[in-house]
Amino acid sequence: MKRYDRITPEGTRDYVLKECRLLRKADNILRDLYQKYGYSEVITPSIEFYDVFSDGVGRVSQNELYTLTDSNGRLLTMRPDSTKPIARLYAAHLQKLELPLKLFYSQPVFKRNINFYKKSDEIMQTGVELLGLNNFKSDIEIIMLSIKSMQLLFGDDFIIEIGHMGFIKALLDELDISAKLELRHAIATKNYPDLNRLAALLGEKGEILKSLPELFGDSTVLERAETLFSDSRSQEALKQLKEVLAVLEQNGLKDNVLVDLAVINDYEYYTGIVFKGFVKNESREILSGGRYDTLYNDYGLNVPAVGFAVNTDEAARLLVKKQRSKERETERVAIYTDDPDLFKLQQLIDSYSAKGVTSAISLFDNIEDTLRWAQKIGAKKLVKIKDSVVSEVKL
Amino acid sequence: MKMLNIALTKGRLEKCTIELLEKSGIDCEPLINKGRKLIINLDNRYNVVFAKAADVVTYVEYGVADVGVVGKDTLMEMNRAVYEIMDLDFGKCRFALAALKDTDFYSGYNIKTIATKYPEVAKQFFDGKQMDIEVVKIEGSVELAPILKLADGIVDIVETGTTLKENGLEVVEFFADISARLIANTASLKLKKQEIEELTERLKS
Repeated sequence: MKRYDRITPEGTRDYVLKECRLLRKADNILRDLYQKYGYSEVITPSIEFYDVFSDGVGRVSQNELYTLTDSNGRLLTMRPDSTKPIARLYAAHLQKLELPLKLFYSQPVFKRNINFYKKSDEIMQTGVELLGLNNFKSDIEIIMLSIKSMQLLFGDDFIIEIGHMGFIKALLDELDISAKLELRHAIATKNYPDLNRLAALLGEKGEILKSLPELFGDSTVLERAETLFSDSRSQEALKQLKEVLAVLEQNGLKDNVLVDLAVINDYEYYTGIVFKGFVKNESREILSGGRYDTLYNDYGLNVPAVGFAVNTDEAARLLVKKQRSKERETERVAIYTDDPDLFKLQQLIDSYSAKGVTSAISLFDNIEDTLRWAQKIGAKKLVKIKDSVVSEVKL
Repeated sequence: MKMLNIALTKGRLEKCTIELLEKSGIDCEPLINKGRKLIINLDNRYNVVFAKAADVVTYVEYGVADVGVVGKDTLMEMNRAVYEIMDLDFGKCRFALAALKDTDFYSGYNIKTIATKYPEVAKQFFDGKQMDIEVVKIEGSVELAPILKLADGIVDIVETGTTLKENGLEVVEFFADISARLIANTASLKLKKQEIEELTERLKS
C-alpha cells in the first residue's frame, strides 16, 4: 500500500521561513489596521454543521465542501467562508449588541477546487464584516479599509476593481434559476459567445446584457453605462458607484481604481457594491468583498452587511516574489556560553531584542561546531561567554 | 503600444487561424515560414507561440500569453479561469453522444459506459441528465470503443459525421456547438485593454 506520510493533501501546503514570516507579517499588518479602526476580532470553529451552508443565499455547493460527520452521525463541514459563520454567530449570540457592529477575523477557509488546479483548498483569510447599516458611509468605510489593506501590503502597486450587483440583478431577476446561473457565469468569465446566445432569450434587455462585460475601464465607463441602463435599480447602482469613485478620486486614487460592471464574486449573496483587489500585472485576486444585504435573511433577520477578506496566503506569495532580492532579514547574533545555565542569558538576549536583533543560543558544546553553525544560519556575529567573560567575534 | 503575447493552437485550427490573421491585415509570413523558431514576432506588436490546445489555455490562464486561440471543446473540458471574448467562427463542429446504429442507447437498467477524449464534458452532460455513467478515457480513435464492446456510447466532437457512419455509429444527441474561440487572461484584458480591443476589432472586420 502506498503511504502518504510525507506529502500534504492536494490544495494544501506547508509554510516555512520567508513565506511563513511574510504570511504572518501580512496578517499582523491587517489585524493592527482593523483593530485601529475599532473592529473586534471573532474566531469561529473550523468545522460547522453542514446545515449552515446547505440553503439560502449563503448556500455553498456540495462538491466544494469538505465534509465529515460528528459522533452522532450529523453532517459537518470545514468552513468554506467566514461570512456565513459570522451571520450564524450573530443570529445565535450577538443580537443584543448595538448595531452597527464592526468585526474582523483571521482564519483559514476550506474549499475544494476541483477545476482550477493550483488554487489552494486551504485559504488563509483576514477580513472584516460591518453589520447593521446599508448607507453610503458604511460602503466607504469598507472600501477605504480594503484600499488601506492593499496599500500597507503593496504600496501603490495595486488595483481595486469596483462594480455593483444592481446591474446584473436588474437584468436577471426575471430569469429562471438555471438560466440565471449560466448567465452569471457567462458575465463573470466575459464569455461573449455564450452571452450572445443567452441574450437572445432576453429580448430588449439582451442587448444591454451583451454590453455588460465590455463595461470596464476608467470612470468613463459610468458615462457609457448611463446611456444604456434606464431602469431605476441600475440608475441607483450608477449613482452609488459615482459617489464612491468621487471620494476615491479626491483621495488621489484614480490610477488605482478600475470600474468593471461585470465584477461577480464567487458568492451569490452580494447585493450592492462589489470589489476585488489585485496587484498590478498579477491575475489572481488578493482581496474580494462587497455588500450583502440579504444574507441574514437566511436567519430571519434584517441585518444589512458589507465586508471583505484578504487572502493572506496569496498576498504572501506575491510579497515573496516581489521581495526576493530586496527583503532584509532581521539581524541575528549567535550566543555561545560554557555555562549550561541558559537562564543567565536573559539580560543579554533582552538587550539585543531591544535593538531589534534576534539571538540564537548555540547548543553545541564546543566552539568549532558553534562557529560552523553560526555561519550557516547567517548570524552577523558570535558572542562568546567563557568563565563569565564576554567577547565578540565578527562573522 | 504594449507588446501582445499570443498563443495559437497547433494542428486542426492552425491554418484557419493564420488565414484569419492575414485577412485582418497582419503579415503572417513569419508564421508560415517559422522554421525552428518557437517565438515569432509579427509587426513588432505581437509575439506568437504555437502550442497544443490544452497548453494554450494554461498559458493564457497563467498570463504568459495575454490572449490565445483555442477550440471550445478544450475550454469545456478544462473549465479554467480565462475570459472567452470572441467566437472566431471557424473550426466548427458539435459535441455529440453517439452509439452503434439501430441500438437504443437509453434502454436497459445497466449503468452506461462512455468512451471519450473529454471525460469532464461527458460527466457534465450526463450530470445534466441526472444519469450515472462510467467514463473510459480514450486517447485515439474513440469510435472503436463501442465496436469492441468497451463502451455503450461515445462522447466526441463531430464535424460531418462521416467517421461515425463509416464505423456503423450514429448520433444519439448533439449537445454543444464548438468553434475556435479567442480567450484572454483576466488581468491582461484590463491592463492591455487597448491592445486587445484593437486586435478584436481587427479580427471582426
